[in-house]
Amino acid sequence: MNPQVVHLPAKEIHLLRRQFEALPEVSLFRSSPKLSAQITSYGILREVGTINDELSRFIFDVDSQKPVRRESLKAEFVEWNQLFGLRIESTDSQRLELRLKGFYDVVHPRLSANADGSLHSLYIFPQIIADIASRQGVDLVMVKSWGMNSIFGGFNPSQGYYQTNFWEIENNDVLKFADLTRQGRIAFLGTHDLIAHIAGVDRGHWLLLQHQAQRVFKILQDYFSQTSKPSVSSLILPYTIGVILDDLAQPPSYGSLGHLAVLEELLVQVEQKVIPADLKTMLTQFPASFQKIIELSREFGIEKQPHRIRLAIQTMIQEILQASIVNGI
Amino acid sequence: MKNTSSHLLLGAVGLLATNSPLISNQATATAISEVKMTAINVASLKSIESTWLKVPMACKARGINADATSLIQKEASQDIQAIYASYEA
Repeated sequence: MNPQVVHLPAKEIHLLRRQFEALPEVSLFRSSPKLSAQITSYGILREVGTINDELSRFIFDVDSQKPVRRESLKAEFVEWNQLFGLRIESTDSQRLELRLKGFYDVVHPRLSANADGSLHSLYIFPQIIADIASRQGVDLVMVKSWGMNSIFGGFNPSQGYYQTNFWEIENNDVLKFADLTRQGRIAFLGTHDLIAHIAGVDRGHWLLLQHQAQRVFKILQDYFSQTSKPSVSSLILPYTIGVILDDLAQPPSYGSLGHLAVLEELLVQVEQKVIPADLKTMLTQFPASFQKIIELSREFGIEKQPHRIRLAIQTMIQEILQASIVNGI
Repeated sequence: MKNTSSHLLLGAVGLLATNSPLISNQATATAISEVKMTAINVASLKSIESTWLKVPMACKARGINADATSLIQKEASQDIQAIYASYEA
């Protein structure tokens, strides 16, 4: 049987949203596989070909040996053997290859391949992917608040980012991310989750990752126990920790010593409460040195230069404090 | 609630224009309710938005830490292929 293209009219998307809203905040993919597959497929479909598409830069045209244009990628829903999924095609090429380790694992091999082994399209079935992940000891999950912000709203293409990314800071999503990771769970809501975290998932690295996530979770939980409503000023260091932990949960960065060194120094600063969690201030600027810290964590061999890590983090702390004004209300 | 937040937001933004004092690394003892803190955070997020957008890596959705590379193995592993095969009718 060949996959059948499925069109979901607005009414059915609305129904999907209602069903998603009825789920608990975190639900296992396998507890409602059909609904989860539809929601994940919709999340991926919405991103394909847009600025939020993380797949595109790893999809190459075999003949030109260049990545296909992001705008050339189109997605549509398909059903096959009672599985819901999607097919991604490029108007640039029907001879595609994938250039990220693990990417081939999340694309149906028989349905997607040409006779010469290149790919005419990418058939993606979230339910099979959840099965692949579970055999690596990792559970894929739906996270309602994240999905409501991304899949079912919040994206303005002119801004080039999801509202959820910005509001991650205030929502303190690092706590939820660390909580999921320490439990061996990965959210599966869009192209970032698929390509950055699930493609190439390997149980051999998850024990260490879960240990790191547990440590992050505990330290941040202790830190925020001081206040019921932390200020944005106090949320920047934890947000930075979240981005480093996100990298560490990506197969290409599993166990990266550079990331671990930067993460450790950030955790020390949080434990020492150099910026108190109950600091009642307004933040006027996002610290430019945030970028430097993320770059440092990705620099090969940076763990051998702890003074550079400390300097970058101290600089960011000073930036935060100098941009934090006492509110006299 | 919305109006209160808006007024607080305007007040907080107003403080920017009047060169409010910078703080050291000590929290002030000012008692601010959770509602007020929410309004202050709304003002903070509004205030930092333009500088946040200048930091490419602040957006996690574009944050995969990997470059495209040529792969030797251009197909799924045998184990993975077996999983796909198990879903064939």
